[in-house]
Amino acid sequence: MATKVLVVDDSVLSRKMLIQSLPADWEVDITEASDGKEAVELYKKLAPEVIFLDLTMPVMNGFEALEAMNQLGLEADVIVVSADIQPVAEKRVRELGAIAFIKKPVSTPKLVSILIDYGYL
Amino acid sequence: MNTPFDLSQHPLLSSIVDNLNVGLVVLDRKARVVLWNKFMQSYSGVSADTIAGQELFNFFPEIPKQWLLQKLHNVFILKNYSFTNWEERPYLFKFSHTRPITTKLEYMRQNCTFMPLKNAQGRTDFVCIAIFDVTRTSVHQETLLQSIHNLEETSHRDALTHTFNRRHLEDMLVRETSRSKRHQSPLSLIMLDLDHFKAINDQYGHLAGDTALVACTRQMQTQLRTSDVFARYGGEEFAIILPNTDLAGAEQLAQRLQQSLHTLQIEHPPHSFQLTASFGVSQFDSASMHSHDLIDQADQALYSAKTQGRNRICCHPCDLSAAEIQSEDDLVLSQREAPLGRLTLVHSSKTVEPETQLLQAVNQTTAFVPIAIPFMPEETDLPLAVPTPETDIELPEPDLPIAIEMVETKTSSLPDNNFSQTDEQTPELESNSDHVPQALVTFVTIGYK
Amino acid sequence: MNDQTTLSAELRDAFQEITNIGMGRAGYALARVLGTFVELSIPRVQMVSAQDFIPTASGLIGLDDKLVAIHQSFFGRWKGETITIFNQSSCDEVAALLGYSQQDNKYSHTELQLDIGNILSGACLNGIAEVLGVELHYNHPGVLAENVHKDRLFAHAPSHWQQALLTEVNFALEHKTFKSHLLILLTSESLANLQTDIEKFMAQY
Repeated sequence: MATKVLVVDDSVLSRKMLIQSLPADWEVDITEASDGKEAVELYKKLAPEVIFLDLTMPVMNGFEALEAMNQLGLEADVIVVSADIQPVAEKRVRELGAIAFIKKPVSTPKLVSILIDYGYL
Repeated sequence: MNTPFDLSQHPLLSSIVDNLNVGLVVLDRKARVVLWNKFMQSYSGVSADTIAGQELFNFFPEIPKQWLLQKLHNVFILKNYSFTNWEERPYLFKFSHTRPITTKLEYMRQNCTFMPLKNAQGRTDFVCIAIFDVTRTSVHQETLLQSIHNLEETSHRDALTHTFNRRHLEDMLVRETSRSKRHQSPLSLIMLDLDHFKAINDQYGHLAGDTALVACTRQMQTQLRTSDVFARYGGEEFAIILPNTDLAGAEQLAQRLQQSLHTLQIEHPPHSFQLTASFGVSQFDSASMHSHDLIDQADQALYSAKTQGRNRICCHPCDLSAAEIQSEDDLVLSQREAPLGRLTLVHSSKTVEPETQLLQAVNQTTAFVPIAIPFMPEETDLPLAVPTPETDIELPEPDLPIAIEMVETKTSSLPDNNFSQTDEQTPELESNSDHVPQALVTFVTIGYK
Repeated sequence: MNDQTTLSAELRDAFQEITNIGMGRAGYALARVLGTFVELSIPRVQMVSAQDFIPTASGLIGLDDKLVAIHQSFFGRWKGETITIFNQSSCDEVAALLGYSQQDNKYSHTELQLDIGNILSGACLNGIAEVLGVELHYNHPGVLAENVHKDRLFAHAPSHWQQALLTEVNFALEHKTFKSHLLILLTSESLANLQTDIEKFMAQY
């Protein structure tokens, strides 16, 4: 059965780049969100298993979205995909339960190794 | 030097680096020198062999060490250019420059660019500092700034007497009145006018008049404190701002100025003559006055001094107060009694019926020449027109309420119907012949109420 | 010169994202230099004409106190100018973070302002250039305006160009009062090169 994946980023290009970086042999069912608020709504509705989350976004940023998901009970594996690569940013999202922190632009090998670690591949 | 900067195998590159009229220094992460071009060698007197591999600071204690290390650190981390500018930091290296004769500067002015040098792997292990000699630019810049300063100074000075001009006086008056308000300190103003100055010009020529203005200026300036602001207000009229001075103090100074003029003999060969002045003194009342009120009051006092016979001092409030001009008749009476004075009716805040008053003034004073007043509704202050003895005063639209703002009377040699028609509010009469009788002329400025 | 006056919506979106990534790198480098977390904004990218520059630029700036503006030109594969705007009152705060000690007092106020402008604009522009594999060179920074409110920052509309690509990013330092806007103006003659660089980058995906 396909893994339910939520890709959250305000940039169309960024979402496209991420989706194209996903390994071809990973069977996924992808939904896209363009800001944190939309992401939280979709999280409630679809209960995705993996979430790729950007941090700098309008309306509601990635930190806030992650906090909101925590309030609802975080049951997805959140991989933060961020342009903001300051160590403090990584520390914060890890404290909020993110399993990994990848810097943009995404590299496929890095992504693959994380997915293997968490048993998706 | 066995470093990536060993140029011995590259004679052409080496030639460029050494012939460049720019200092080139390459430092490693510990601020040790790995490249030192000819420019640096010749200005510092330190050879490349001597300094190679050594910390820069060992040779140049004038360089602030902490500051430079921080700067280098930032360049290494950010892989970003950095700069110093001669205007903020005149030099990095204390070099003598090549223009010892044409400039006062002791050391070469330098602009410096710090460039991170990336190797093929994108790693930055070295920083190149390029040192540009901008002494020439800085000299030009400083000359320019000096010129601007002189120009600013000039624009505040009177060209003839080199005292401050009216513009500067007005600027300073605003500043001093607000200071007086803030500190509750006394502030006074003297306005003074050289007596019969026109006669000097007429009799001895305008150059003699200029000599007189310069001489009187110098004489009076010797009596002033450095905090006093002395300015030529216009023509033969001067003004002095006296900070921290009350009315009594200002009056005393006016007396000293008056005395000092008495002792002054003005020499303009073959002529030698003396001058007197009339003084109006006023003290600033911060509770009720603006800066321009102070000028108005001193001016009123000055005209009072003039009308009382000149060569005297009047303090505001003066004897010829606006309160005296109560009735229509007073206007005429005052003008008769003060044939050389100027009545500034605006201070009486009294709106007059211009037709009646002016006509009466003209009719009852035989010495008056009637003036035709052209009426320009668009403008508030009106220049005068050509008077002829037969003309009645023409006041257009007589049902419009009109306020008289100023009535000025002057004696002058009256040329045969030849008034110079100018745009100035107080036009000068051309006095071009000796046999024309003296006449009293009234200038009137009117406007809408 | 092959001047371009527009950038397609797709390319603009791409450049915005590339700027975002570049900014992230700049934030990382700045955080290392300043030792504090740098809060980054989402970049705003638009074409602007010379006559619209002043109202557009002023509209992008959300700072109400007295400001400093430092300008600096750059050249290489792209040409243009950056304007770094920040609140005057927090200069000393940044001076301390940058390791300028007050005691030695070896720097002037202006030198510090120029340094702040240079560091911020250089870090951001380098971040963007690095993502696209481009190298840029910089000229001396200068003070454009000082101690003014935002409506007085730009005295004259630029006269020597018609169109430019205006990118705005802003950043703040966590728990500090320092706030800054960076405006990057790329001349229209650089747009052809920029377009090639973006397309090359996107072809990787």
